[in-house]
Amino acid sequence: MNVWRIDLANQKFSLEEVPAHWEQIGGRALIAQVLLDEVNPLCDPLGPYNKLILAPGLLVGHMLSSCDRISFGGKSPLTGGVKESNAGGTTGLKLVYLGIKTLLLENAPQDDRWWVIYLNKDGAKFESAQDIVGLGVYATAEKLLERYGKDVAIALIGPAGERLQLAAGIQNLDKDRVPSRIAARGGLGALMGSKHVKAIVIDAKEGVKPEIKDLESFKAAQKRFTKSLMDHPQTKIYADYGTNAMPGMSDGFGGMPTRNFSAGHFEGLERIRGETMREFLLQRGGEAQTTHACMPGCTIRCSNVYADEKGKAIVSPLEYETVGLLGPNLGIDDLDMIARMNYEINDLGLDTIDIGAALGVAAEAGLMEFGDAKRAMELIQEIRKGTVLGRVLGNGAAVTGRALNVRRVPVVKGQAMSAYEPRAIKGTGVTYATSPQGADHTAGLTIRAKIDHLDPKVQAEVSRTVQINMAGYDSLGACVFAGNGFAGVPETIKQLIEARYGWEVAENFLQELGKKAIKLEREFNRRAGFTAADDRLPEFMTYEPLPPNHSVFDVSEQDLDHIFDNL
Amino acid sequence: MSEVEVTFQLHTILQVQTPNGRITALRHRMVNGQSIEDALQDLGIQISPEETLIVVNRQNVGVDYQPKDGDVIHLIPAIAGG
Repeated sequence: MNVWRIDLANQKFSLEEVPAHWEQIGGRALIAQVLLDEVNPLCDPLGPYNKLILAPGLLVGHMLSSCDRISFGGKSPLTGGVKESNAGGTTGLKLVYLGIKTLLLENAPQDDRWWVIYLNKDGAKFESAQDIVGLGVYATAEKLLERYGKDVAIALIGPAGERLQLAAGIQNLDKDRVPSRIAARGGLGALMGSKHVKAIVIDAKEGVKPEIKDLESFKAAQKRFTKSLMDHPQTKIYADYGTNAMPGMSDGFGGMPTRNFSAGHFEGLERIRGETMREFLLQRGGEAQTTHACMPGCTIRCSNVYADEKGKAIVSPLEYETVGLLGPNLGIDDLDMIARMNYEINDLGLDTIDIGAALGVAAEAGLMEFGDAKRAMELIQEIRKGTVLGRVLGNGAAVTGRALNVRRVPVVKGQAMSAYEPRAIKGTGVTYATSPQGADHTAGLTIRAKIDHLDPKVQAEVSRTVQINMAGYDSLGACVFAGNGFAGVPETIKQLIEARYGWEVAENFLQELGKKAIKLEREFNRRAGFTAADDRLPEFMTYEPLPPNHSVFDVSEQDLDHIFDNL
Repeated sequence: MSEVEVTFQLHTILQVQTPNGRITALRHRMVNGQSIEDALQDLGIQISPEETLIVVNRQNVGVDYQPKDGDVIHLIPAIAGG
């Protein structure tokens, strides 16, 4: 495999061998290493010295169930620190078919031209994107599929990324060619926009599947992993209800963020929970699907297609974090309206979590009544129109809070929290506070642990363990839910890696990889100027009791400061 | 022997679809001092304690928990997040 470099200043492409110390890492860990090696931590995230990094995980390329994720990274325009955000779809798989270990978009364009970067076995070409600039994500994908054919993978941005909005993400085609798999977090869409790259098209028709050193051993490990995953009880739950199986569980602990993180129980829960959603989808039929795979080969199939009363698709997928932030967090209990808002935010190329949180802050500032879905949609349209208010909201919750002088702003390191209230699920609060990524649900959730979620003394250890595991999975290209399969047969990770690459790796390779990723990320953040003060929840959460538990976030600063000692 | 009345709130795959709609909760009278395990046996509900969160008053409890009158007991097939 090789390192592919795209120089936006000179429209040049070059290919290099992989440096030795990049070889045995992938995805999230590789992004952190590239950042430390090649990006000045003090640089302007939207300036010429930042790089957009694409890095498939180490297991990507084999249609191993739920293990073909693509990591995007760079210095985050939103947090100012390290950023990795990953997505399903087909981008990772096709990059690996072209032999790309990592793709780096470098330097800054010297003029106003916008580009489609077209990749195939011969290298990269710069093709004009002038005809698609300004288009929404869905129309952009359609045009690109017409131009390049149905077999390509595409990573693209919407109008928000073009406008350098800090909550912009990067969309990827799912297996049905819908651009719905979003590396949403941390403003990487703005970073791509700063390079004037509207889309990266990956044509792997003449690519090759990566070599497997010991095919027999790989297949044996794959079989055991797949069986373990399919037999796991959680797999059926995700297949039936998608990630929106979560509301009942979060609310059950008093941890459902409600009306801008001012309560932990939502009275309209029954109308938005996954059990109700599933009933809707089964009744509505037509284009509705209760289960759907985002990546080829995924056996979990936690995605869905949400359809209206006539069975016409509104959005795919409708997921828990989006439901949480656009639903209870805004006091809205209408799933159809949540789905429509989801579509609009996707089409703009924005992160539903940060926009949902920004709308919650806007409601607190008096720009909408909680529960008024029509007004929430109007505010989203302000973003599309590019009004001053829309530009503020499109930068996410932190900027919105500052612009509107709101003090209850649910962010860490400038990034919005997802749909777990950290005063009720305190271990997840520890993750939000201490993850180098900022508040992030994929960095290590603790709600599944059978612990007292309100006891401040037991949270750091649980959070540390899951954060390390998650950083490992993010470096393998494995979906968080693939972890259910690997948990039953942890030795298959070592077997798969050794069979794929011919290396010898440790029994605890997953944890080694995770620790390495976090260590590198913390070092990048340190050099970027982050201190212990950045590893804290918003102050209001330490003194404002959250009903119905009436709890505050009281995990000790000592625990937060020492969570990653001895990595 | 005194009795208590409790409600079992069923989540996701524990909910049962019937011709009359989804069964999302069950009310149950039980002898004071019996455990959740006893009650589940009486109701014919099978759960895997390892894979199920039992939540009362927003706290994890075990199958040996002895419900109090009026308790709402959430039976939540555990998942890791969304």
